[in-house]
This record gives sequence, C-alpha cells and structure tokens, in this order.
Amino acid sequence: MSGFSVELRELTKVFGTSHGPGNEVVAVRDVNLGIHPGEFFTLLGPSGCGKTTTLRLIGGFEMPTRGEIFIEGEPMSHVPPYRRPVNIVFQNYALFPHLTVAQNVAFGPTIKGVPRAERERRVQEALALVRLPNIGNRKPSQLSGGQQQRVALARALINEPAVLLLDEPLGALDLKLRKQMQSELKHLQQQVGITFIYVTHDQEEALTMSDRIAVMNEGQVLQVGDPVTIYERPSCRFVADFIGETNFLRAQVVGKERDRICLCVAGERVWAGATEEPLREGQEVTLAIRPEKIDLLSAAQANGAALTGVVREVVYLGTDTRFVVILPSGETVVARLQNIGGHGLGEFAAGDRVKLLWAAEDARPLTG
Amino acid sequence: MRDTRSRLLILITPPALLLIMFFVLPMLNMATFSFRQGAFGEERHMWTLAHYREFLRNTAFQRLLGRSIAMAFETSLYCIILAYPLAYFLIFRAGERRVALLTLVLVPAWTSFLLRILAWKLILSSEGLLSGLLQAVGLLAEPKPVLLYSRAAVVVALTYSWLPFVALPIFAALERIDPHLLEAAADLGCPPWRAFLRVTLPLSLPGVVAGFFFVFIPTLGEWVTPALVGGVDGIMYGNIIQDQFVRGLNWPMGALMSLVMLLAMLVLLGLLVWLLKALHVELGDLIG
Ligand SMILES: Nc1ncnc2c1ncn2[C@@H]1O[C@H](COP(=O)(O)OP(=O)(O)OP(=O)(O)O)[C@@H](O)[C@H]1O
Ligand SMILES: [Mg+2]
Repeated sequence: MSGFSVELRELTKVFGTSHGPGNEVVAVRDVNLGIHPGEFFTLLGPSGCGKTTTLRLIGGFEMPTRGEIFIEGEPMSHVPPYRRPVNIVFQNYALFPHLTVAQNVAFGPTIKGVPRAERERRVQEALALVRLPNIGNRKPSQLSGGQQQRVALARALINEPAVLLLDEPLGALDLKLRKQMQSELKHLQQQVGITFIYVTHDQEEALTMSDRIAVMNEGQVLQVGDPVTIYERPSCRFVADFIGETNFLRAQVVGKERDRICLCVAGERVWAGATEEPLREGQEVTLAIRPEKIDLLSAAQANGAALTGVVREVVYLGTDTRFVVILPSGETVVARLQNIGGHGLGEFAAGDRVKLLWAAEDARPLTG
Repeated sequence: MRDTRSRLLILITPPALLLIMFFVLPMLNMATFSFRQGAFGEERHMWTLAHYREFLRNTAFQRLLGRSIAMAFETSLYCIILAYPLAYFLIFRAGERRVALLTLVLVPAWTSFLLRILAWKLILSSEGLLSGLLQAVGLLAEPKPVLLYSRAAVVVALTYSWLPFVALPIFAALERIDPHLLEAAADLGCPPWRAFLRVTLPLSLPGVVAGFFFVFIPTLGEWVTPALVGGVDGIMYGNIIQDQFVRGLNWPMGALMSLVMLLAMLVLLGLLVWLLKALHVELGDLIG
C-alpha cells in the first residue's frame, strides 16, 4: 500500500472543555505525516504544541476529531489501544507499582497468553537488551529514574511492536544520564529495527538522534526533514528561531541571479541563497542567518557587498567568541567566530567598526 | 545525645499516658474482673474460674458468637459489594463532580446513628414504606412488617449505616491510581475488564481491606441495632454482653465474654491478613 509504517492524514484533535463552547483547544491541526518503517522520527516543538496529543492519538488513547491514522496501511479509527500494533513509553514510565520488574516486563506476553517458559526467556532477553539483567525481583519503587526508564523500555520492546512511541522518555533524567541514554536509545533502535516516534522539546536531542524531524507549533507541523535540512534550511522563521540561534533582519528583494538573490538590508546590498518559492522584486522578506556563518572583518579592509556595523559587546565562550554588532538601522546581529590563530578573540573590541560577511547560500530569505 | 533522648521522652510521655490510662488499665481491669466472683460487696474480693467453666459449658454463648461473626462478615461483604462500584463510578465516571457526589454519600452519616436505625424500623414496620410498596404491587395482602425483627433486618440496617465508611477508603485508594497505569495496561493488550482485574483491583485492595476492618470490628460488638430491629432472631453477641452488665449484673461474666470477643477478633483479623498476603503473591496468576 502506502509503504508507510505510520501515516497521519489531516489529523485534527479539538479538546472541548466543561466550561461550555468557545473554550475549545485545538491541540492538533491538520497534521499530515508519513513515517517510514524503521525510521527514528521525532516530533519536536515547544511546550503545549501538541506533541503528546499526537502521540496519544497514534496510541489510541485519544480519538481524533477529524482525519485518519494508518498503521502499516490499516485505518485505526475503530481499533482500541489494546489491539493496536504499537507500544508506548510514557513520560512518567507508568510502571505497575504492585508488580516486580520481571512481572512488569512480562505483562504484555502474559496478557497474550505466551507460555511461562517462553515468557521468562523473553523477559531475560528484554532486560539484557536494556542492560538491566539482575533486577527482575525488585519493585519499581526500588529503582533509580534511569533504571525505571529502561524497564519501561523493556516492557514495551518485549512485545515486538511495529511502532514504539516515546513521550519525552529522557525528560526526567539528569544531563549526563540523558546524554548516555540518547546514544543507547539510538543504538537500540538500530539494533531492533523498530519504527520509533519520539517526542521531545529538546532540539539538540532531536538533531543528534533522529532520521527525520517534524517541527510543530500550535498544533501544526511546520517543517519535516532530516536534521541537516531542518538546521540549514529552515522553512520559516519559527523553525529557524526554535532550532539553534538565528539573526533575523528586515530585507527587501532587489534582484536575482542564477542561484542567489540580492537583498537590501539596512541600506546595503547583500546576497542570500535562492529559495524554492519565487520572490518578486521589491518584496519584503526576513533574512535569516546563523551567528556561526558570519565572518567579521575590520571596516577598512573589506569591500564589496557587506553590512557595516559597530561592535557593542564581546563575550568569550571558550571555543569561540560572540560579538554583538549594531547596524545603522538599529538592528543587532550576533556573530560567533572560532578562536583560531588570532582571528576573533582580541581582534575586535567594543566600538570598532566592522563589516559582516557570509556566503550567499548560508543566508536564507524567509517569507513566513 | 542526652538532649535528643529527653526530647523523645517529652514527646512520647503524653500519648503513652493516655494509652495507659484509657486502654491498658481498662483492659487489665476487665481481665481481672473476669476472675472475680461478682461485681459487688464480698464477692468482689473472691477469685474464681467459675465464669470460665460456665462460658465453656454454655454452647448458646458460643453459637451466638459464631453467628455474630457471620453477621459482621456478611455486613462487611455487602458494604464492599455496594461501596466498590459506587466509589469506582465516582472516580472514573463522575469527573469533576466526584467530590460533591461523595459528600452526598457521606451526609447521612452525619445525622444521629440512632435516628437512622429508627428510620429503618419505620421503613420495615407494618405501616412502613416497604410494606406499602409490596401491597401496592400486590405482593402483600395486608399491612405487615417486612423483615423487621430478624437477622436480615439487622444486616440490612448495619450495611446501610456502614456503607459510607467503606466507600471512603475505597474512593481514596482508587483516587491514588495513576490513570497512566490503566493506559499502560491497555497499551500492553488489556481490554478494560482485564485492566481492571490486573491493575485497578490489586491497587485498590488496601482500600477494600481498610473498609472491611472499619465495618467488621465495630459490627462484631454491635448491640444497639439488633436491640432495635433484630427482635429475638436478630440478637447478637453484644446484646448478651450488655445483658450481663445491665440486667444480669454479672460483670465478671460480661468482662469474660468481652475478652473472648476481643480474642476472636484478633485471631480472625490475623488470619485475614495472612490470607491476603498469601493471596497477593498468587493474585497475578489467579486472575484474568
Ligand atoms: N485532555 C485535555 N483537555 C483539554 N486540553 C488538553 C488536553 N490535553 C491537552 N490539551 C491541550 O492541548 C494542547 C497540546 O497539549 P500537549 O499535551 O499535546 O502538548 P505537548 O506538546 O505535549 O506539550 P509538553 O511539551 O508541555 O508536554 C495544550 O494547549 C493543552 O493544554
Ligand atoms: Mg507532552
């Protein structure tokens, strides 16, 4: 059929409230997504953007207001959660407090009537997979957060689901453990080959782990792409702003060349990369450029198309130095230079006049 | 070190004194009383085992104790059977109105206990609600008391009285269950009824057990309700204890009977706790 592991078509979820009409919350709005088998797919977005709701819709814990969910080609609207070929790892893990770790992990196979001997073998395997071989007899309350997280993972993976849903599974862990679990999770996913749909609001986590990312805001998917595309070619201002740091400058389209566009920013002409959508001359756009893509030269040195500004602030950050530059228009631009061979650090001080340079393809005109 | 010890002593003394004055001493007093010949005059200072012999010989006492245990057990059971669905509905279906509705369940318990039992007496009497209803549907030819002055009347009235006290701990236990656990059960393949058996029920069991104790313990020693609606058939062990003190003026016998009841209660509850522990281990294998 479609070949997708999970497909969402015009998925919409509106929450009504008990305080009468007019108080509805559109948690998910017209979401269309196709997730490939074996993919590590991440839903990324700020708090309240509808990530959890999307995941709960896929799991069957919420019914869509509109739209349809297909899992392995099958429509899911009349399939209850206990018959969907997916498993979920909840943010708070939701381990059964009255059962031991082994009983927790064995829960799925027990319900499905797997014979005891095979069940026990699979529990051992699953616990070994998450590298927790010797704690089967403990109760969840006797485990650390990281251990609970692994048990929740084992409890889901033992069922060999077609799709594993993970709702900020590392959210409760400290930074160090988080980093470690990120790479473990990624390896695990490659090892078992199950489709992962992963929810996070941590952009770094999304960039390092995912095959593809869907950036969400206010219930809508704004852009879908691999980490490089999302970071290098954000489709709109929100995505550029949410992921990494970006300078936004008011600009006007002046002209076009083959693969670059000439813009007027703060009264000067600069170049930016061409966009998919056509731009007309005179159109107002926003020029997006990341701080690390900007180079600084002293105003006297450079000529050609470049912005001129005055350094207001210099901050030493170890590997690089951060410069805040004020343009004649009053807009500020942040540039980061690596501290290599005398360039950057010590080269400019507050009050110096500088030119800002970049490669055309590193700057993007945004209309949205 | 000395400081913490003296502080501990200060903290512990008032409750310890209270416990000694109002629990330990009366208990000891009751125990000694059971060996006295009588409660008054000379007999008070004569020691004997006669009451023990009398108790062991009198099978009526023992039968009554057995019956009271059965009645207390039944009452607790009916309370749980009625209160569990009630609490379940409040937690899982009533939404934001749950606390308001729970309060409605509790309100009757704020009125006088005696009043409520007397109300039952009216309901069950020949001019009462039940009799009238049964006549109206043609099941009863003439005004007649229904159930009144029987063992059943006592159990009904007691079940009614204790229902809120069972609903409350079950409500609390159900309220503590994280809704995500039920979603996790569904996620792992449980249709709702299996999720209930495997997650909701075991996690609410402490509330059920607490409710059981709340009812069983006071019901076993109950005497007011059987005195009012029980008649001859509905008499309980508590009534004959009361007789010993008030009518027979045989305080030593009354004390002995109270001690026996206490002992029976402790043994039963111990048994129950042991059973629950044994059950809990196997519960996972027994159900759904
Ligand atoms: N059961 C509900 N009833 C009413 N509104 C809800 C319900 N669940 C979620 N919402 C609303 O839907 C929107 C999206 O919520 P959701 O939990 O999906 O966000 P999220 O992206 O997971 O956020 P976070 O990162 O904080 O977990 C929010 O505005 C939230 O208030
Ligand atoms: Mg969430």
